[in-house]
Amino acid sequence: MALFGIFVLVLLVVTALFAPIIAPLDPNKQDLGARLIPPFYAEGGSFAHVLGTDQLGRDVFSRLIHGTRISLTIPLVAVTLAGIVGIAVGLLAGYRGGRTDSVIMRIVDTLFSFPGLLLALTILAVVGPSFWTLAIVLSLRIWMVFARMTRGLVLSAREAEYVEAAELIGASPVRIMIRHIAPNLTAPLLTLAVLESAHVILSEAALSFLGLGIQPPQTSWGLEVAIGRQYVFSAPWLIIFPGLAIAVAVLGINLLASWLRVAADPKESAKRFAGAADAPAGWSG
Amino acid sequence: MGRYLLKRLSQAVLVVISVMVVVFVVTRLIGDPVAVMLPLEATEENRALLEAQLGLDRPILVQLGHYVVDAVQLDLGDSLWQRRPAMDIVLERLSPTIVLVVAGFALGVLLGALIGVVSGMRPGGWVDRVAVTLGLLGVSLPQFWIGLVFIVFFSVGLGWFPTSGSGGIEFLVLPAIVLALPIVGRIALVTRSSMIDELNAQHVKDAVARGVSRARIVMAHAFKGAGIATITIAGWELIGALAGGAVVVETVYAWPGIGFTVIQAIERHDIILVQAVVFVVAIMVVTINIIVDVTYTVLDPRVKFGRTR
Repeated sequence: MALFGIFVLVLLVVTALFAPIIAPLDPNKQDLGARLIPPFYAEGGSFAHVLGTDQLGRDVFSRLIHGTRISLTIPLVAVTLAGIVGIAVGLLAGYRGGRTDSVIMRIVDTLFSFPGLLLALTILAVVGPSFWTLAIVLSLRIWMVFARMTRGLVLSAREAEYVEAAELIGASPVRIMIRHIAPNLTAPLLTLAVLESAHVILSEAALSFLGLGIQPPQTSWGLEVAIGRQYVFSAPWLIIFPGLAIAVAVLGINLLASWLRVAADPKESAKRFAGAADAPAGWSG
Repeated sequence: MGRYLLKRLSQAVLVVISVMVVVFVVTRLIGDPVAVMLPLEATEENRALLEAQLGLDRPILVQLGHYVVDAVQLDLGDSLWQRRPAMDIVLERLSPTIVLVVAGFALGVLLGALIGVVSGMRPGGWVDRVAVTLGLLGVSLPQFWIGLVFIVFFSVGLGWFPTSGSGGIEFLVLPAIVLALPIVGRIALVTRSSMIDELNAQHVKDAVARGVSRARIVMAHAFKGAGIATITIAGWELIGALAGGAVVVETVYAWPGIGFTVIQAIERHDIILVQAVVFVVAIMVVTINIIVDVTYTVLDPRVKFGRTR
């Protein structure tokens, strides 16, 4: 299962990087004589347009390939922004403790109670949707998750004896942070980043579907579904394939994240989906 | 308990106020509501008139003051689209949303918990494999897409359900199922995971040694512990369905609730109505949070009132 996840991720990254080479046709080239041609398997379809054409005669497969770029860069940018801010805030709260910690965590808890998607919609409606507003709004929704996890990890790492020992021999806070605490953070935070990028892909798709995400002439999978929606009865392939692309991408990333979680935490391996049958029934970490 | 509730209530009020301040700052300072609301060919006089009408020509702090005082009295201004109090529209559209969210949430939690318990009993068996795959699909499929696919398949293809709109129970079936899908997935995965933990716990092993029946062990011993994790996640799911899922599902099925309303309001540049929906949803979200916290505390004797995390 994890292999499937890695395979999907590699495939997506390669597709995004080499989109112009892989796509058979120009995604924006209109051909009004060849509108709404069905995919190859349906009657009237051919391999000239493998997945058919849209209402302007553009090649659906080529648009899908090019859509990979935005659908992958949005989560990359949003998770990076959220990670940087969240980890910095979490480190500050966990390492300083005391009042700093309680004030920061109060703010983080408050933000967790915000009606996420609805607020994102409002902000995008007023500020105007674009690649960057979308990435920033999506990162605003998730940075607290990184802050909370980082703080928890720092707090438990600080308890460790080797950290106390380092403090006793007079190591500077920066050195303790980098040499002794940071290595404990990498694996869990990486897993979280992978998991959150699956959430961001779904959120971007939903916002673009609602008309408040990516705007034409740029394209993303969610936007393709939104446009295809008007032809859902006569040309269902316009929504089927971009939706499948989202589903496969998110499923692959989710599988990878659950494998990473198991790999990082031996306690979890008893629950591992594949191979769990071999584990002794009473096994516990 | 009384003091605890009072503390939670004051936190809830703080959350609602901060949501409203964020909305205020975004709409008045970063964005330009007048530019959004007016047509492109509007003149400078049109602009000044609308600004005066909305009170946007006053100093920003005066605006904030009026805004807060009005919001406390549940007066969020007149909708620009329907020319009547925005709060009235939201309250009218609230009950379809509650019907949809309650139906989808109940379906999702019951089905998810059932799948989680059954698959957690024998991790690695074929039932478990199918359940985990279904769970992962539930959390990975985009709701708006599965909604459209269901319309194509069940409404157009098989003719079982109407494509969209509202009326009898037949209109509710597809939207409720679509809203429930990710809930089923997440609840099933979480319940399964904590069932496995519980079945491996010492108190369950002791019960097995005492010769307690399997059915009793699963329900009375393991699920009692696993249920606490399920309830915590269920609270988040309810909030997610209300503040996110409902907007998407209602839009796909033209279900006349507040989620569909907020999208219609955005299309008509009716910032006042959008603001009213956010306000009402924020109040509902904090209320659900309080209910979940109290339930959690009552159920788990290890958690004491007033001690947060």
